[in-house]
Amino acid sequence: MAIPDALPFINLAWGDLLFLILSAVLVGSALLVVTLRDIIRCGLAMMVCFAALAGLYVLIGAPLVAAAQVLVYIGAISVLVLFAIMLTQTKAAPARLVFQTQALPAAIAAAILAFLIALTVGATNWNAVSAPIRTGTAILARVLFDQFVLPFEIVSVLLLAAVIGGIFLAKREQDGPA
Amino acid sequence: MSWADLATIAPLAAAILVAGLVILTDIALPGRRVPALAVSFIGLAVVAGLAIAVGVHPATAFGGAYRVDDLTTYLDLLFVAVIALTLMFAPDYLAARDLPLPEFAAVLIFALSGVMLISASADLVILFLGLELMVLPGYLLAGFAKRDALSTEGAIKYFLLGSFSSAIFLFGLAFVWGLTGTTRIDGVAAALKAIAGGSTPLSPGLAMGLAFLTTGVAFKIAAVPFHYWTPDAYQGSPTPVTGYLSVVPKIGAFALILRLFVGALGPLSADWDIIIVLLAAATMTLGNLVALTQDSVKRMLAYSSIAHTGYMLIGLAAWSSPNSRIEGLEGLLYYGAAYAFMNLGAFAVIAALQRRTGISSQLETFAGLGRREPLLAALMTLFLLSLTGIPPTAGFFAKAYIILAAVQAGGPAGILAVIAVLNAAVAAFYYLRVVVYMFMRDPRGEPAPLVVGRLMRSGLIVTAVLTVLLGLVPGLLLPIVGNAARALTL
Amino acid sequence: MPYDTLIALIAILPIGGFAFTALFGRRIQAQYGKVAASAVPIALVGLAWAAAMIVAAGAIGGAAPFGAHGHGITFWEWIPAGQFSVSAGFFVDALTACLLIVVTTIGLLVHIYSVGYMSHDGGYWRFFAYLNLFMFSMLLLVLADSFLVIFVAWELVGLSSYLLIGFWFPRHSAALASKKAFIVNRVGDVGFILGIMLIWVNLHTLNVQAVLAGIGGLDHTTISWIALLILCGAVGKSAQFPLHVWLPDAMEGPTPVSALIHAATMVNAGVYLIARTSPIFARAPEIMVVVAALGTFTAILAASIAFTQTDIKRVLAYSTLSQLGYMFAALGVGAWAAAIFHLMAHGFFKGLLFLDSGSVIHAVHDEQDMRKMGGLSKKIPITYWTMLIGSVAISGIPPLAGFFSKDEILGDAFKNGFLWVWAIGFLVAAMTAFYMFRLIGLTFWGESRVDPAVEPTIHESGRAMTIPLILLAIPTIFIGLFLGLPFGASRLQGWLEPVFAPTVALANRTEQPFALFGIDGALILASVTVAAIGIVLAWRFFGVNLGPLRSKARLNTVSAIASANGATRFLYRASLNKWWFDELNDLLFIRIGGRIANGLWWFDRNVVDGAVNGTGRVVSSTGGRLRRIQTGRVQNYALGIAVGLIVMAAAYLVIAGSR
Repeated sequence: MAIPDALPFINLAWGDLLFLILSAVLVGSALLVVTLRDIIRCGLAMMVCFAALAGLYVLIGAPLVAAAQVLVYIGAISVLVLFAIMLTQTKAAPARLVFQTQALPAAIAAAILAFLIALTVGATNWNAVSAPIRTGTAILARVLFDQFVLPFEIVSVLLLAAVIGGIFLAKREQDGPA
Repeated sequence: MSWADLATIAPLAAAILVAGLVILTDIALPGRRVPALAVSFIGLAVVAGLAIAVGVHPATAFGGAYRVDDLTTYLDLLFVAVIALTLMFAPDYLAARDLPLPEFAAVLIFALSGVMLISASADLVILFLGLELMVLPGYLLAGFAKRDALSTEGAIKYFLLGSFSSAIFLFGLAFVWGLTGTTRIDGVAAALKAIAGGSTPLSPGLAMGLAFLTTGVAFKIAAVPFHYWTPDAYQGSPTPVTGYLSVVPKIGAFALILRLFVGALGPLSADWDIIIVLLAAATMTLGNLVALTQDSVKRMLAYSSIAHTGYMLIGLAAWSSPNSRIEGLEGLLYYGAAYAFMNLGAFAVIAALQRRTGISSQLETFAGLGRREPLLAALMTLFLLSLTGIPPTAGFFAKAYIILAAVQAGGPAGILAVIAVLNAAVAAFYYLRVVVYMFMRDPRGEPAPLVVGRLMRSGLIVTAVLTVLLGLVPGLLLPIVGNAARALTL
Repeated sequence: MPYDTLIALIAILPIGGFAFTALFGRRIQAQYGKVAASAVPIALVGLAWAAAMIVAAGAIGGAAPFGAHGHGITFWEWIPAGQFSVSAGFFVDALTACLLIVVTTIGLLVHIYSVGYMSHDGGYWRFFAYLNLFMFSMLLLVLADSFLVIFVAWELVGLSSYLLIGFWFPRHSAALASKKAFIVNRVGDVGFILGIMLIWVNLHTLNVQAVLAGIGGLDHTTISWIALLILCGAVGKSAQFPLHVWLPDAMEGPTPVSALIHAATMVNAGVYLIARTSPIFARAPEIMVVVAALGTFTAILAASIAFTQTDIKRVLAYSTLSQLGYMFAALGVGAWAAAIFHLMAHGFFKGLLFLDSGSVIHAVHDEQDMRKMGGLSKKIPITYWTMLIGSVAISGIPPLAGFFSKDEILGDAFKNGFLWVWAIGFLVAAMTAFYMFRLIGLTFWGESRVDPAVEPTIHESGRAMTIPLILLAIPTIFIGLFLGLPFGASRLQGWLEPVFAPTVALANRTEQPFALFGIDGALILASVTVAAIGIVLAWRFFGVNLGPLRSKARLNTVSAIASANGATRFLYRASLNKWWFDELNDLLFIRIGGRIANGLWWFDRNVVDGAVNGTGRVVSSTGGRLRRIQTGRVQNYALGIAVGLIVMAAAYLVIAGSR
């Protein structure tokens, strides 16, 4: 039996359905990150969030970015964050998150912003951007190292600066002149 | 990428290399201050030389993503000067607190490469990267005194909010890209001209994008009501860093405004100018009025720098009127230079006082300074008079010029001119309060005289001379500023 | 030497003196003594005086480069760019010359006087540096040919006056007074700079002569606004109502400063400015009435306050206000030349009176309260006689300076149809005579009320102080005769005729011939009579033990009269409390203005900065500083940014939709 092009009854394309599911996971897990009380669970929710984002990248035809997302964000950053939490967390840490003092106004502001963005994006004709193209790794590489070589190199400088600063801030205090 | 491309980005590449060299020097000769400083200063001189050499012939590189024109050269030289001066003011302060100089210098020069990138960018992506490269070292520098809880606190606030606003800004760029289909600045301008040509309503998406961009930029220049981070970050930071933070990221963000709002979004100026006018009015007024109530000189100068943001925005508002396109930009650029030197100078004096650790920046610190440290007190007076806008200093001329430009522009900008005059009158009180403390109050104790290092002293004198020179003979800088302004409007 | 060089030198010499003294003064004073430290500044001001005299003679005589309408020189293009072109240059005509004479002559004499007066002060060299800075600023103001340069000088005189009022800063009141002078002047300055902006918008030039030439092309409303805004600046600097409150407090400065800045030169800047821009005012008759009204009101207000003050310098300060009011009244009724005449005459006699008061204060060991003086006439005769000359002059008794200038003002007011100005001015003339001779009586006549400990040491001041007194007494006696005769077509009017002729023509006033045996004679007789009555009354009250009007000092009687019934008690208290202007200003600016600024800060800190600050403080004190970051301030900031973003988006959507 052939799978129909669109979801039966409501005529929703499969791609759109996937998008909705992934977005829901993304937003839901992001909310969990900021609302859960156990910081380890927050970290785990963050990994889910990253994974959903990687799915979205695949969906819009950027598999390389998706792969990078999985490798870097889930594989490296999240694990690092979790390790850092586990290594530093002590019994003295606050049992409940102390900074949730203005959840309500923040939620209202966020809702209004989301509403505004949805409204304006929906009401705008985005004809300047052509239909999404599926970028293969080879094309991406060519664009990256030809047209966007300067930004590419600048990002590496940015990372270098960040690394130097990070090392300085993390460096153990020495006695006497450094 | 071709050799011509490489030649065009030579000053930028040199700045990045110098930063790397400073780190290498530190690795080779760990903990030594003099070699790191020597490498930095020689490197900065080379960067300046290259900027001049490249700037003679305006050129584009990387397929039009990178553009060197008179504006680039002017800003590059200004920033090199400001970074060099910061490096002259910082060593004594850092040494007194056991903070390493080489890392400081390297991070500072990385920031320089960021602002140089902004001033030369002809592409929105490059613009954003330049912005990030400029502010990231700022976060590090704000928290440079890592044993000082206040410094760390200020840095974390600055970092969190800065990232938040960068995200907002980037979102705005995405909207603009979505509507124009290009990230090249001239391409965006051309596309927007087509969109905004008639009287048809702007698409809501574009309006939303403008809102995001304005908000992001307003945060970076610390315009009211997006200024909250400023007092905390400025007060917590080590004083030489505060001087740096109040000048480079601010003027760098103004460079970004020039490239983005004047360059790319110029065709929409009829839509954003009223917002700029409102921002400018609120920024000047709130900055000045709150500065009146401050007892810490550092915090007072933080609010005063907010007020100066407002004055600089007047130049932008004047630009959006066809009567005073060049004059408005000239005013803004001139104000940038004047503000850079006088504000750096004022913070440098505080840094010199704080060479002895444990000295706060409260007003009482300044009591009787005129008798204890006549040189420092006289210089501080000069800088404060300039910030007030008393002739014949740089501050007066810059303010006069920008106000004349606004008056010329007429309309809402003309009203801004009146508000600026009223604000300048109010501002005199809090600046002169410090002068009164220095010359008309007796100190509580009798502290031993300070030793002002040679580097610090020569830096202060250079700043002072520039502050006077820019006020007395503006003809020196005006033609350069004029060329820079025209480069942008061509 | 060509005139251009001389004109430049007038301004350059004092600033050179300032630079030299500021740099080397302290060292010279430490090594070679005080007199050496003041040698250079005084010598340079002396040279500037000589240059100014030659230039003034040339300008008044209409010598080669000046001609009848003055001579301008441009030094350098200050703003050389495209549409904005502001050049810095000087302009000298007969009006400038009159001011140059007053400023440099009195300036030089005050410098010499200060050698004696300040000889016990440690900050001696600093004082001379400031004085030189002031001389430069004032001369720049008088010479400048561009509104922007005038404004620069305007600010600089304000700054140096601020420094000099606060010279004795350990006295808290001195620091406060200098602050007050600065604040009040800022109010006026804002008006002035707005006026300059309005000129720029409409005429695209700031050169004074070009503006005066082009002003006729503007519409009436614009001209009126420009005139009103310039008037704001003038009112601030010349201390007219309602910005008069700073001048009496400025008396906290050393007395030579009071004489130079707050009597003879800086406070005249407003009068000079209005006279200089008279073509603008002549085209705005409504504003002229405002000028006249402000001047007249200030004249009577200040005179009424001077009645009861007991501080010798404050009496003179209120008298200065009152006389400046006369000048404004003259400007308002279109008697331009008379205003300048009174400016010059007042500069000399009030400078003299202040220097005399300084000599008195010196003699009684820094006592300024006249209730603790009395009977000094024999002990300090030179001071007494010169001060008596000054008082007779200001009272308007012929043939001294004040008589001619005051009568010219009153006569012009009467003949130009401003009867109310004349009537009030007439009354003020009597009041002036009364309070000045009250001052003389309390200080010099009657019995001594000086502190017995000080009494034996009272002695006349040294020669450095008495010689300037005598030198100033000479013009006080003769300047009226020299400048004010013949009646109706005086010498000064001849000098200033080319300057004011177009303006007078514009005001469309028919010049009535002077009639000594007609209306003018009657007016002169009347005002001399009331002045004489004022003097006699003061004489009776504050007595002198000679002649048929023998009477003892009746301090107690005066207060008895003052509290006799409700109305007089009220008037007495109003005068004593200076009509409560200080209290009003305190309420308006310090209380209410301070509340607003504090409120804004509170708003910024608490509402914007986070409503949970309180909890943040508690946590931070218990759990270390870093904890505070977790208590919501950053979140509050972020929320603020988000709200700002929403407002911004709404604004842009409205703008986008409405185009």
